[in-house]
Amino acid sequence: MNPNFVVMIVTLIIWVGLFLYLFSLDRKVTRLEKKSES
Amino acid sequence: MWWKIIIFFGMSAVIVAAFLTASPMRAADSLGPVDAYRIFYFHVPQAWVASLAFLISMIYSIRFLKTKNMEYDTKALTANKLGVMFAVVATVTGSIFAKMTWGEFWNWSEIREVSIFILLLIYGGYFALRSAVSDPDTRANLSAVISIIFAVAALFLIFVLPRIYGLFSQHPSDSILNESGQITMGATVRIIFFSSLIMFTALFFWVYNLSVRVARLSANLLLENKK
Repeated sequence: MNPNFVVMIVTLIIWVGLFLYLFSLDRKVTRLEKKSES
Repeated sequence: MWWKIIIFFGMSAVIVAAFLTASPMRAADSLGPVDAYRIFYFHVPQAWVASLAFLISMIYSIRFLKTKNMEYDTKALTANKLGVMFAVVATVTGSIFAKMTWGEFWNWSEIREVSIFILLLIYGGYFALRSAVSDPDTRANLSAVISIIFAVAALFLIFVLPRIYGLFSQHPSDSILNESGQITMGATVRIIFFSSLIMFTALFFWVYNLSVRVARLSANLLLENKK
């Protein structure tokens, strides 16, 4: 397998993980903000 | 919501394009494989985002000194934290790039490595100062003033100093712009590089927004606990 391809896959996996983390954090923060307003 | 999807697919596209297009580096310019060039698409945007963060911190520090609103102090502090984080990431990727093309992870005769080291040291001083002062008003005032001075120093260390001492740098001075201000990259490289720049900037603003909201929530929680 082309080594560039392997590095690309690894980078993509890290990016997807980072994105999902930020996405879920955003939802949690929004929920907490609503809770502290009410 | 839609912009998160754009960031997701935009950054994914940048990663795919960065690794699957041909490397524009000439073999004569590098001690190692020319494929190392691909880290350039991530290294430069990271350094750019770090300087953007320091600039944002300076703006909020000025606004804090004018209004004495603690909200601006939180925003300036958060921007500095993220700035240091991106500066560290840029240093690490730069160091790997240096090992691949120049043969050494770190070289004290390379002006950009010395200047980023000084930059990280002075921001270490900023956080040390913040944790040393217990009175919130004094801390906010002091760190606002220091943030302004440090942001000027950071922009000087990143953009001016390496150009003055260009002889002590192995960084190519024309990797993005040449002397007459024209873009030197080929069409493919240019598209990937500027998309990466935009995506990193967008990602920074998202992370920045999240960090400020988290800081605000924890400050509110502290207030509620005191009551």
